[in-house]
Amino acid sequence: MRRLQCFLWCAGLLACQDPERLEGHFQDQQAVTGLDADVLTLEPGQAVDDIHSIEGTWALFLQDRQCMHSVGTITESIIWSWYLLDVHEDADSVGNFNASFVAQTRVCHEELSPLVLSLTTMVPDIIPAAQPVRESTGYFLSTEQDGGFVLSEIVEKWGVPGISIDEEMPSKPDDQRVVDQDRDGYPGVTFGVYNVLGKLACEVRVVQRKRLRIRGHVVNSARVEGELWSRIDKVVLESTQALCESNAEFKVSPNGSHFVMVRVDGREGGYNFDFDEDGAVTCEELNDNLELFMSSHQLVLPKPDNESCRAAE
Amino acid sequence: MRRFMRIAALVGAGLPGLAQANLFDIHGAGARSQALGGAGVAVTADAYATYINPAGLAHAPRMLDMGMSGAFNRSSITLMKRPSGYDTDTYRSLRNPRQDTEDDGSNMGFGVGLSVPLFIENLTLGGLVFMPLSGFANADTSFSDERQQYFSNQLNFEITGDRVEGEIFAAALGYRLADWISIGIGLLVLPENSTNTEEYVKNAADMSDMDVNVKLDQSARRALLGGVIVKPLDWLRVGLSFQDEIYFRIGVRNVIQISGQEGDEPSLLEITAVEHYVPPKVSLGLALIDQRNSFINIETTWRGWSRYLNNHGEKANFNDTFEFRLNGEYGFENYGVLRAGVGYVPTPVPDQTGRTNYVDNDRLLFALGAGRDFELFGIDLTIDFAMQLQLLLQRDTYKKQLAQIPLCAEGVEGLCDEVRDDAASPETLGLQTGNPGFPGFSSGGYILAASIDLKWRF
Repeated sequence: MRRLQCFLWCAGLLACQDPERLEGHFQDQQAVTGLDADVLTLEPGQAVDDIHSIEGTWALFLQDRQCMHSVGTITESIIWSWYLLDVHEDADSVGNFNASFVAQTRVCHEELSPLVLSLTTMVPDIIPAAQPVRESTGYFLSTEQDGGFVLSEIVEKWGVPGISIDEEMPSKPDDQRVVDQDRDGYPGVTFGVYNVLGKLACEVRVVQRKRLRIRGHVVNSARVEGELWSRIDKVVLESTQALCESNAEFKVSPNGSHFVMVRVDGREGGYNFDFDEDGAVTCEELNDNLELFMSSHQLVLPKPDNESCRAAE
Repeated sequence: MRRFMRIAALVGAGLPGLAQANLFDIHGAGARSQALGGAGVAVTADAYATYINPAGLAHAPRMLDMGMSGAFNRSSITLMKRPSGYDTDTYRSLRNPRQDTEDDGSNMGFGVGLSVPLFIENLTLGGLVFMPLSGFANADTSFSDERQQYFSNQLNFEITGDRVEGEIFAAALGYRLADWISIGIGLLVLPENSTNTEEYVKNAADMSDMDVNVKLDQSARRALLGGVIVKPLDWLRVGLSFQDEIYFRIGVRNVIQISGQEGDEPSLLEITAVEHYVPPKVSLGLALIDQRNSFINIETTWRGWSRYLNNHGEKANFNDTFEFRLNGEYGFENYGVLRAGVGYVPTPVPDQTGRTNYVDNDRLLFALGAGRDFELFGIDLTIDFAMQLQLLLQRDTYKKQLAQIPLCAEGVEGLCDEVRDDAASPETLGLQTGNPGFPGFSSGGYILAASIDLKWRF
């Protein structure tokens, strides 16, 4: 009985006071976290000036900037894409300094900047995952620092796998060329459009053909970067909301588009994204560590620069 | 202790008709139930049986009941100190600074109940209305995660806060099948509000300039009540009741037409708000009764909190709970009855170590009350009153540090980063959040409730 009395008394006393202010488990961030904490699982990058071997796995980051004319206003639309390239050097073509190669190319992830009304289009990873591995060819004019680099055109065909590069895009969902590539029961591929609260505002079924050409130069043994040229033919077949169905006109942004290609297999001083140590870097490993990928390679996703687009008109 | 006595005195002075029933789901329906710690499923026998267990109406006399009820809330949430280096670039310019929550709402209301035998023998109709003095169909939503930084930037008690401001409209029928068994069924009703707006946006880049038309519809949301009371032995009474979930829902549907798109279907933006959520519940009571109708009663209540919807109609992943109450009533010759009860109400809210900040505590209940029949100007009256203390056992919540910090997005449950890492901007590396619950918080306090009922037997 005395124990019960004691318990009730203590419970009452505790409840009648405001809870004491406690210390949390997080320490001041400058001291313990940041990039150092993020890259603990990575081998440190120790790139040198020249490339000695191009063999291995590279990640290709594309930043495609376009001025978009839609619903009576002009905004800049930025598309960020991440690819993986398994590069095999063409032994017959290797010179002292130049080299050509064949690469198995996979698109891993794509993101888009917010549009008007703060709506943001999300591309589910199932869409890139549904794309076939494509073969690309490339050429290093020189593997020394500042040496030129070109890659053959990459053509992505979302929802229209059989279409040629100069064929007119289908405009109707029942067009024979349209394929339910993400297998969601709707024609083409489905993008989600989310409002500023993160809620799904609408879904759009689209077909898209994207042609990408890149040309750049060697920065160091683990990094190549340069300009990106793109042409996107996108048709909205249907939408759950009329606003999302609106067609937009795209023009080249004065801010320009660019690419960065970096080694991700730990060779030649590059970072190693083979987290499960199975000898291969996969899209899952890249997608799960995109923040780490961006920060470790000093890559930034800028905010759209609408003013530049409006000024360019 | 002095502080406690002062508060008790304040409540007594501040609630001049400190009266009865209300805030039914938290404290009990009516002064009698409140004095029993919120129980009564096996022993209810007045108009409040409409809410507690409609089968009890079969034992209710012809009676009009009027009462008042109030709760003095002295619960609070103390936020843990924020460490440095976690601010977003907008954190210092938020409209409201992050702050503790104190005294999360006191409430008061009045109720009217009626029980009348109908034309069929052994059939009784019951009706019950309870209205908070703060107003009708109030709603005050908040976000449970980092989004709340843009609003009050405070945390709120999820269950004992604004939820007790809900009104009650209930009607039921009780029927005595035989001397040893009675059954009951009824409906609980809450308002439902639907707002439709049509908006014409003249410039998609300037949302401050738009033309709006509004259409408002009010309707009702219903929940089933049911129960049975069995008396297999002279000294034993068993009650079982069921109440379906109910809540006040506001649906907002915005139809947006944008200049330049007049020929197309307009776009839709739909928002749902949920208030005063009461989960489905099943109560089982067992009362041992002596010849003077004094009793000892034990009661357990299952509540289906796993169905809980937060203010924005989102699932909150709460746990179902079992509550326990022990109470009794003792009748004195010529001095009325004395009632007392204790109870334990576990929280349905799991540890909030991630993104969300639902705040709730385990509660210990202590209740005391009394009632007496008397005659005034030839009218048979009964007065009941009760006081109930609920102690919120202190709970400390620490956010969990994740090895891989996810970016905030729909579906993310862990503590999330609001700023994408950018090696060129060192201040963006690691976790940046304005979540008011970061890095943790403590909650506790008490709620003191009181009720008074005046019953007229006619």
